[in-house]
Amino acid sequence: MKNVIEINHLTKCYGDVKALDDFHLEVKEGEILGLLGPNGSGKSTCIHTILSLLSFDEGDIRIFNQEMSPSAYSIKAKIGVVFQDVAVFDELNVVENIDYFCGLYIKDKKIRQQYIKEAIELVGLEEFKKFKPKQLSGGLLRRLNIACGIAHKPSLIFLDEPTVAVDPQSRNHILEGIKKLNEQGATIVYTTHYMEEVEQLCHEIVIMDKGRVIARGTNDELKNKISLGEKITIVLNQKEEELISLLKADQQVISIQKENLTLHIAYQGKGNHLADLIDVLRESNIQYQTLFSERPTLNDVFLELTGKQLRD
Amino acid sequence: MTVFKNYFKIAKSFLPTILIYTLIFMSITTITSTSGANQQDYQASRSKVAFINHDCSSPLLDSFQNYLEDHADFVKLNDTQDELLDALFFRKVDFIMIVPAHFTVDFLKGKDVHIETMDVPDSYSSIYAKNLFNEFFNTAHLYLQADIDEKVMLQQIESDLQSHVDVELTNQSSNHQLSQVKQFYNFANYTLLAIIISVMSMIMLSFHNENIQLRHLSSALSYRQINIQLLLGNIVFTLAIWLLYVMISFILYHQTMFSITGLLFMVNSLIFSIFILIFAFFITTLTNNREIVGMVSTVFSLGSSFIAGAFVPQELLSSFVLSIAQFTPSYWFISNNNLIAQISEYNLSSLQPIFLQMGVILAFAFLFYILLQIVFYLKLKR
Repeated sequence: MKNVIEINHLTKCYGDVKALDDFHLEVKEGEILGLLGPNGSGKSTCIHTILSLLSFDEGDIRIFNQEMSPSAYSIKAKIGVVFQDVAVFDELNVVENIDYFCGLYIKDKKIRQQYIKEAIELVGLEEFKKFKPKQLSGGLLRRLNIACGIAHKPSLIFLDEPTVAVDPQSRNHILEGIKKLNEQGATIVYTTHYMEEVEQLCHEIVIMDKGRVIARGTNDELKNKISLGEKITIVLNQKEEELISLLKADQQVISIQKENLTLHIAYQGKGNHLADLIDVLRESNIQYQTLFSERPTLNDVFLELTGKQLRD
Repeated sequence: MTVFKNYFKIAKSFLPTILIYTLIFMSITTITSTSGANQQDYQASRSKVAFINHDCSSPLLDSFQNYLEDHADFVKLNDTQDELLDALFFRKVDFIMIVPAHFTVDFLKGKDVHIETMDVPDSYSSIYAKNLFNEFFNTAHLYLQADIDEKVMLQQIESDLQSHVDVELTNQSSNHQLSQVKQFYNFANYTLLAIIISVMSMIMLSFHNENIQLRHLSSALSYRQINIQLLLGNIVFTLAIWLLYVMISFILYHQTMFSITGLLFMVNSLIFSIFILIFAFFITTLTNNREIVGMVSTVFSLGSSFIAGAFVPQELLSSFVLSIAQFTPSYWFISNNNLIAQISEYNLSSLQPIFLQMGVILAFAFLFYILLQIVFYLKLKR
C-alpha cells in the first residue's frame, strides 16, 4: 500500500520549547492511524503543522506524494479535518452548517445535498436537522462538528480528539462512524489520549511524547515490545506469606504489589501464568476470593517506555 | 460564492435587530414630523422665573418685575440654597434672580453692581429669560449714562421694551418638510451607525471565530477568496441598509427627496455609510471579543450621535462639545445635512462647503482604511 502522508525530520519550536522534535510519520492508504500521547505531547501541533496551519522550522511534509503548503489547495480539497474544538456557526442550523462547510469543497448543489444527507445519517443527527448548535447537547454538537468536517467525502481525514467530553452513547456513535468512513475508503489519522479508543479503532498506533515518536506498531506489536506479559490480581482470604515467597522465587514475576489482602502480580513474557498460579494455589492449599488476569494495556506500554502514565 | 451566501444566511438571523432599530427610528421620526406640522403662526414662549429681592422695593425693581410679568411666569421660592437648586434641577423654574441689598441705590449711582442669577444649563427657556433680564438692565444702563432722571428713565425703558416685531411664517410647508428631512438624516446618523456596526461586526465575528478560521484555512478555498467574498458581503449589506433608509425617506418626504436637495442628502448619507463600513471592518479586525465589539459599537454610535448633534441640534451644543465632535465623522455628516437644508441656490460657491465636508468624511474613511491595513498586516505577520 502506498503512503498517503510522509513526514521526515519535522521540527517545530515555540521559542526554546520543541513541540515537534525530529518527527517522522508515514500513513498508509486506507489505514486508521492512531496518534496516542498525553496532553501536551504534540499531537495537535503535529496535525496543525501537517495541514500547514502552522509553520515549521525543519523537515518536509508530503501528502498524496505532493509537497504540502498553505496554498496546496488541490491537496486540501481531498482532506477533511475535525478539530478538537467545535467549529460551527451558532446562527445556522445543523443542515445549514454542514451545507456551508461542504460548500467550501463541493460546488454542485445536488451532489452537496446528497453528501449532507449521508453525513447526517453517518453521525445520527436525522432528528436534529433544524436544530441550532445551542439547542444540541455536547455529544450531539461533537457529532455535528464531525459531520461538518467529513461531509465532502475526503480521502484523508484528520480527527483531533473528537470524543473529548462526550457521553458514552455519542462516543460509540462517533467511533462507529469513523469505522464506516474507513470502510468507505478514507485514510484516517486519529489523535486521542484515550487508549481504549485507539485499541478499538486503529490499525496502527504511534505513541508520542514530547514531540517525538517513541513507539509505533499495531496494538499487539506495541504490547510485545515491553517486558510485561500478563497482570494477575488475586484477593486472598487471609494473609499468605508463603505465597509471596513462592512468587518471589518465580523468575517470570517482575513485581508484586500488596494492598491488604489483594496482590497485583506482574509477569514477564508470554505463557499461561494464570494456570501456573492456580496450580501453585491448589498445591499450597491457599484459599482466595477472586482471581483475574489482564493483558498489558497501551498505558503499560507508555509507562514502561516513558516512566509516566498516559494521563499524567 | 459559498461564503457570500452564508454571510446573508447569518445576516438573516439579525433581521429582528434591524427591524427594531428601524421601527424605533420611524416612530421617532413620525412623532417629530407631526409635532409642529400644523403650526401656522409664531408665538413667543414664556419662561418660569423666580425673583428674590434682598433690596427694598423701588420703582426700578417694580418696573423690572412688571416687564418680566408680561413675558414670564413668576414662581415663588424660599430663599435657601437647597430649595433654589432643587427648583432648577426639577425644572420648576428656568431662571432665578437674586437682587442684593442696596442694589437700586448703587445701580442708580452708576456703581458696578450685579444681580446674582442661576439657570438651567442649555435650556431654551433659561436663555430666553436671561435675554429679558439683560435687555432691561442694558437699556437702563444706557439711559443712566445719559444722566436722565429715574422716573423719565423708567418711562423710556418701558416704551422701548414695548416695541415688538411681528413674526410671520412664510413658505411654511416646504420649509417644514426640509427641516424634517434634515432631522431624518441627522437621526439616521445614529441608526446607520448602530445597525451597520453592530450587525456587520457580529457577522464578521462569527466568521473570525478562531475554530472556524481553522476550518477555512484547511479548506480548498483560498484565504483571499474567502476575504473577498466577506468584503463583498459587507459592501452589499451596508448598501442594503443605506438603501432601506433612503427608501423610507422617499416614502415619507417624496416632495423634498425628488429634488437636488434630496440627492445631496442621499449622497451625503452614502459617503457616511462608506465610512461606517470601513470602521466596522476595522473594529472586527482589531478584536474577536464580542463584548468589546458590542461596547465599541454602542459607545461610538450613541456617543458620537450625542456630541455631533444627531439628537440635539448643533446650534444648541456648546462650542467645547462641538470642538470635540469635530474629531468624529458624525459631526461632518450632520453639519453637511444642516448645510444642505439651508441651501437655496445650487452653484459652485454654495455646493463647495458641502463637497468639502463630504471630503472630510471620506478622509476619515481613508484613515481607518490605512489603520485597517496596518492591523491586518501585523496580524498576518504574527
